[in-house]
Amino acid sequence: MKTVGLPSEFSDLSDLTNDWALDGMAALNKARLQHSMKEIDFFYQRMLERMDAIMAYLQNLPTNITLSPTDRNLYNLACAYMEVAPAVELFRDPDVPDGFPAERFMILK
Amino acid sequence: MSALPKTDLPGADLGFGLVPIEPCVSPDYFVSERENLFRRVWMNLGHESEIPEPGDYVVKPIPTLGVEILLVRRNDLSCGAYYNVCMHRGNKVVRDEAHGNCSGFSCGFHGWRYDLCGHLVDVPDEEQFIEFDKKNFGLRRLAVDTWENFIFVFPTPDPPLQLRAWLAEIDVDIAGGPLKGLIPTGRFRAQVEVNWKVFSDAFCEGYHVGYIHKRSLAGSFISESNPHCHISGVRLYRHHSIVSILGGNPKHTPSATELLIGKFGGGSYGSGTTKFDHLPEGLNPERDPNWNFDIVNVFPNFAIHVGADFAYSYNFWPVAADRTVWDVTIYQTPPRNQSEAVALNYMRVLLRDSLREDVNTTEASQQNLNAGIMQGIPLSQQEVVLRHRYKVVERWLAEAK
Repeated sequence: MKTVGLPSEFSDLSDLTNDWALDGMAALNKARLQHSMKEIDFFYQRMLERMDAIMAYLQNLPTNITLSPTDRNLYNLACAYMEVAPAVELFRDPDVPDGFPAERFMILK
Repeated sequence: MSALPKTDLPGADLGFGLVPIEPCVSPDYFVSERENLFRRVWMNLGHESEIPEPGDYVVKPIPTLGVEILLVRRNDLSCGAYYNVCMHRGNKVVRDEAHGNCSGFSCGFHGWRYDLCGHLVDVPDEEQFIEFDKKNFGLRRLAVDTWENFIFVFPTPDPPLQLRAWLAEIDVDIAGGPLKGLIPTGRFRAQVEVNWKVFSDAFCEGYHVGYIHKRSLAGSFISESNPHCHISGVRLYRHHSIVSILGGNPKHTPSATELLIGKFGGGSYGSGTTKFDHLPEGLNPERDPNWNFDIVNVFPNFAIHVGADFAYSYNFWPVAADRTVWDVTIYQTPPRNQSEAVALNYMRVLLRDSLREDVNTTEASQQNLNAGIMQGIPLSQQEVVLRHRYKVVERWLAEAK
């Protein structure tokens, strides 16, 4: 298993990075579809407790710089929270119920 | 709306009868649309942000016409649009790489070289070509122009109407609004087995929100005072149309994520907004406090949903009577920091998921329209822009004959 670091103040979330600190919407949506609702709920709850602190941390980072690898992982983890939020808060399902098949809906960016 | 006398209703001149099925299912009608409409109309093909610097280029398909177009930023900063066809033996000038930056284009077949203006500037071993003049073999041009940062092309170099004139009736409503301050942040594509008009009909009213989107958007869009998600207004022009969509349910309990968005900034999608002083008078002309966005239908196949601080666009590319290639682009305010960048993800994810709800009805509808069960399509006044587009297509094809 590869080791993916986070900024030290968020090291309590390190166990989530392998599955969720992924780059870009296509990878994040794929991860959402590959996890069970129980696993997604677990990830969501762990993140929700820390999202205020994560967002406050990221608020100090401008968009015109290349993020350090640990900051990048934290950013991707926060994006993963946004990816799973509708599954948890709206659908109670990893996928979109009665939705057009995900495999036919191409996420290009 | 229904309190008005029938003759005063928007679109009364279009009639109130059933919309015929044939334009949605007939292969002959599709061929007529392709030849008489899509070969003779301005079409959106990209966004200026895709080719910001001199030498930037991007290859864009027009699936309806079976061609690829090379969009180029020339040295004088104007845009060029050329068919991606080497005028020697028809090879693609740009292969494999769909975008990049260069000083000119070399065909990989025999090395013919074109400059950014499409001129043929070098032919290896040119003396072997007899009765040949390079200046006659530049890349074949399309007319190209921009509006609110969107790049439009016309399939021939000499359109009967310039883009400004073509868009004049909606330019009055939209220009100077939020579009120029937004950047593309998301892109989706799907090929769907549905007629392009039936497909675009799925996104033109609020009537469906309480049903198709009962799990996703209904909670924030539907309110006690507007239980059927009525539109606040509609403008029907000669070709184009605009519909104002409401949102903003005051009794909606925000989710944990919506509270985060409110705190750290992720746009106003679905929440309604009172911040429209900066908008041109033509957007949300009723100044409805629960306004969410206007749907700007740019005839024939481009729609832009414009909110106070976001937009998203659809390109519907018919490739058969019952098959459409669909491109979606999301535009948002450039984030000022990384937490705003994270927060902006939520709208993209929510929109993407709700689009999958929308699209899932379309193939079933098409199959049933093909089956000939229905006599026609009855439309409510909430769906009047659908009727308007069918009539505009019908009139266009009749005038082309």
